[in-house]
Amino acid sequence: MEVNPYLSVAERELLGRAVVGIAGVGGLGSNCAMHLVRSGIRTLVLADRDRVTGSNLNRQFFFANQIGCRKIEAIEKTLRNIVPELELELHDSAVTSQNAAAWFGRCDIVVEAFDSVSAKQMLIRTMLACGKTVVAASGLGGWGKSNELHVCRMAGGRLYLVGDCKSCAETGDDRPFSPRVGIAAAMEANTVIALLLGQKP
Amino acid sequence: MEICFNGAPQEISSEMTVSAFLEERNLNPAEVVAEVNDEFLGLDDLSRPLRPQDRLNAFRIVAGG
Repeated sequence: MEVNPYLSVAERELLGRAVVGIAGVGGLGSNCAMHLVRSGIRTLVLADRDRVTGSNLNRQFFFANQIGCRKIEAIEKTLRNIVPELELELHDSAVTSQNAAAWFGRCDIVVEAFDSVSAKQMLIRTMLACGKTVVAASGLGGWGKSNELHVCRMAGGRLYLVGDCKSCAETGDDRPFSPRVGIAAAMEANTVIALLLGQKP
Repeated sequence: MEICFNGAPQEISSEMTVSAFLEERNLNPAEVVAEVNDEFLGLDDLSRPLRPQDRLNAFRIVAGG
């Protein structure tokens, strides 16, 4: 069964041979992975050290019967429910500046999908230093203001930053909710697919 | 001298570093990603002085995901 019958032969081939890394499979990463798989990506490198908790279900692509499971195992099952024959390289521990280059070295594009500022900065800087193209996110808390979420092209096209880049002090609300986190995750996936297809992100 | 910051012209009075410019705008240099003339700045590059007509872009990295 072909999940995305709307692709041309050339598009299917391009996306089918791409390798995309996702660092963190929480609110951004789990939803981004789902969009990428539905779009035609067949090889993913995924890394996350956490387990699914009840509070994740307000935005993350997990289910109540997965609470307590390792996120990396839960996301594998969920993604294989969409496309069973995916090629997945799974890392069930923390991404660090020491292991990131090795884990994501074979990826064409790496998606930053962490929560903390330090982890986001670490991944962006480590991946850019080893020549990777990075799609990252910053600023997606609260409700509304959909039009303030945008994609910034930086570093000569090697870094794309999704979000509003606004601090809690500026917005008054940095709580992560499904719609706005989901928009940002979809924008990350949309950027990855456009780049792989040679289109304007 | 004039530089371009996030797409808008900015007059700055004297030669200053990227770090000093960001701090003046309440941006913590350690919490942003920044580039000058399309060149991504590592943490060590933030002490670089700005020059006339430089195109500086800097965006805050905030938590959430």
